[in-house]
Amino acid sequence: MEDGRTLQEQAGPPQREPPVSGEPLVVESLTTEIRRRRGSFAAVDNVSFSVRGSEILGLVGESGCGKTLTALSIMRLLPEAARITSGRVLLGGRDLRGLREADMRGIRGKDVAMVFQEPMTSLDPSFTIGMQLIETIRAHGAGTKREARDRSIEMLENVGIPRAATRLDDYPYQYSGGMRQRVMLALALLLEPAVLIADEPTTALDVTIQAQILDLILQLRDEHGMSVILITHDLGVVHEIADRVAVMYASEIVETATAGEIFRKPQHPYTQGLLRSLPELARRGTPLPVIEGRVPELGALPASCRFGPRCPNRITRCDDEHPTLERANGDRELRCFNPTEFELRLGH
Amino acid sequence: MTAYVLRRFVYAIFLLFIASLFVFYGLRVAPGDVTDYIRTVTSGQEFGETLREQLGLNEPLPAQYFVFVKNYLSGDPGNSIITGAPITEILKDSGVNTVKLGASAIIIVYLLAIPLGLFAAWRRNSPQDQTIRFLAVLGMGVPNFFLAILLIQLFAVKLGWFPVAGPGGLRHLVLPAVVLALESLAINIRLMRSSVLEEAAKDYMRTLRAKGLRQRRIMWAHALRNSLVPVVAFAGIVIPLILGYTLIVEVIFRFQGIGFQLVESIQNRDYALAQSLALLFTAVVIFSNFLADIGHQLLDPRVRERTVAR
Repeated sequence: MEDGRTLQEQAGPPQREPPVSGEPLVVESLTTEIRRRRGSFAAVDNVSFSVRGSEILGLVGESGCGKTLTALSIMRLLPEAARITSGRVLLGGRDLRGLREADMRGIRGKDVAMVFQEPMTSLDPSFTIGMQLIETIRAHGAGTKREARDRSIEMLENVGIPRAATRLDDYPYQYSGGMRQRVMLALALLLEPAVLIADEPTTALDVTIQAQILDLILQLRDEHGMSVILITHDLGVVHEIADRVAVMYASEIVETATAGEIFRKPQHPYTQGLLRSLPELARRGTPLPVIEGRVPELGALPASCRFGPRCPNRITRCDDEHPTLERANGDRELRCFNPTEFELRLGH
Repeated sequence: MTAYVLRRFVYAIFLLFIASLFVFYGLRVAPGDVTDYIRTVTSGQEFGETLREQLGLNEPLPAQYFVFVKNYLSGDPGNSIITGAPITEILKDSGVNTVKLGASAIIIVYLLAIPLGLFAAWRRNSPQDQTIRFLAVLGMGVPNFFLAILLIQLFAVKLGWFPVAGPGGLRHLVLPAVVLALESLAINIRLMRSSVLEEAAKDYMRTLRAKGLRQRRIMWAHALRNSLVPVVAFAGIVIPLILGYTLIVEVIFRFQGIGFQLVESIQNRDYALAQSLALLFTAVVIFSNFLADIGHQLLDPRVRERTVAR
């Protein structure tokens, strides 16, 4: 390396300027629209949240509620038909929306990294694992080939790949699904990003492997101190490892609170419904409770409360007005006119 | 991998044997024989009969086939019945010409098709892409004999940049090679373009972008490598196609290669020569298929591994 610094010094956290707010990632009023034949629809609608240092934030919601698009908006990796129309994404105080593509490229994989749902198809089948790790380091100019290789081996060991130095030269098809997801995590953490976005990282895996990967994420968070946005539809996963939870419904955030609060005292009727329908919590012999009705279509969102038509707590106001996300007691934010207390006894 | 190569090789030899049967029999069942041609010159029914006896053409077909195979295995396929020139000489001279022509065409095809296809896919729907696609459709639509005449008219007759016909140096190669390449070039551009687009839609592409790679590297390293698989597999069809077209192109350009000699010798019922040429042709086709198979193995790590394990 030209300037004589080691790889660690160049890529590691000491070099990064500490975020002013103390919150590595702040998303402010983010709106992302999807162009369809019938017009444009906000698939991410005025979404605000922040992730604190070394925190795991669970972003929860059903398929199609806008979780993944929120993540892709942060990364600025949106599909052609989608476009951020307003809001800010502050990474360490810097607004990513205003960056030129070349600068954004320097941030992806280095300051904010992403792990995807499908470990089986998320790696290039024709390149060895080593090549795919090394090129990431090289793309950010963070070391010579030799250093990049050593760093890659070290990172593979870190995520629990045995005989990492040998396995570096294997192709993705020679790895199992769980191992590939470990590789994806190694890939994401190579350059010690401040924020890791994990989009359904365990959904495609067997249950036993799921637990291993979640443990690994926890362990890596403790070692590297990065913040994590964990996107999932699985409240069980969130319960395992999240510190805080943001619940999304129909493109909006409806409730944010600490994980403990969400699971002990969910206040939004949607959050309550989600928890009630967890099989682990249902009483044996009774039918599993469900949330009646269906998620509204993107083009046909009610101007009033979007959850209104399915809500057991609905009052007249819910049909007339669109509730805003308000700060409730303590650390909680809530989008509801008529929240109710709800005690849930967790089985474990 | 070695076991695989060996297996493909044995298979190729077997194919060649089957092909030799067809080549031999196909020529014998065609009406007339070489004496018809020679008789028009020298005349006389008896002479034809003596000649037929001398050449062994009155032997039963299996016996003739046996002699034919024996001669080949001993390395001496004999002489041309018409000119008396040793067949090995003719094969060598015309073979070199055809290999020059075919190789030039194949180089033109892949040297242009791969980057153009990739570029068109990268800049999808741009004016450049649309131009490339339009030319590709045009290239597939124009028959090559027609194109040959057009090119000769323009570049040889009008502009005088290249010779009209005949074998020779590099300048003699340009027009026939371009004519020979055009259709395969067009097909391969389209194949490459759609292959790249297919790769570009895959999950791993998003990972590559999320890693912070440049679009240029994503396209020219990752997309290229993965998109080549179908193109290389298809080479097993493209290369024989090009060699087949040398027949037409060599006749049009009076380019003394295998194709030219083959057409001539078949018309003269010069059995010995025609057999050799046809067999050589078949061998080249089988060999190029063999190479394409192996190339395919080398490109795809999954296939490579499986063949090693076997």
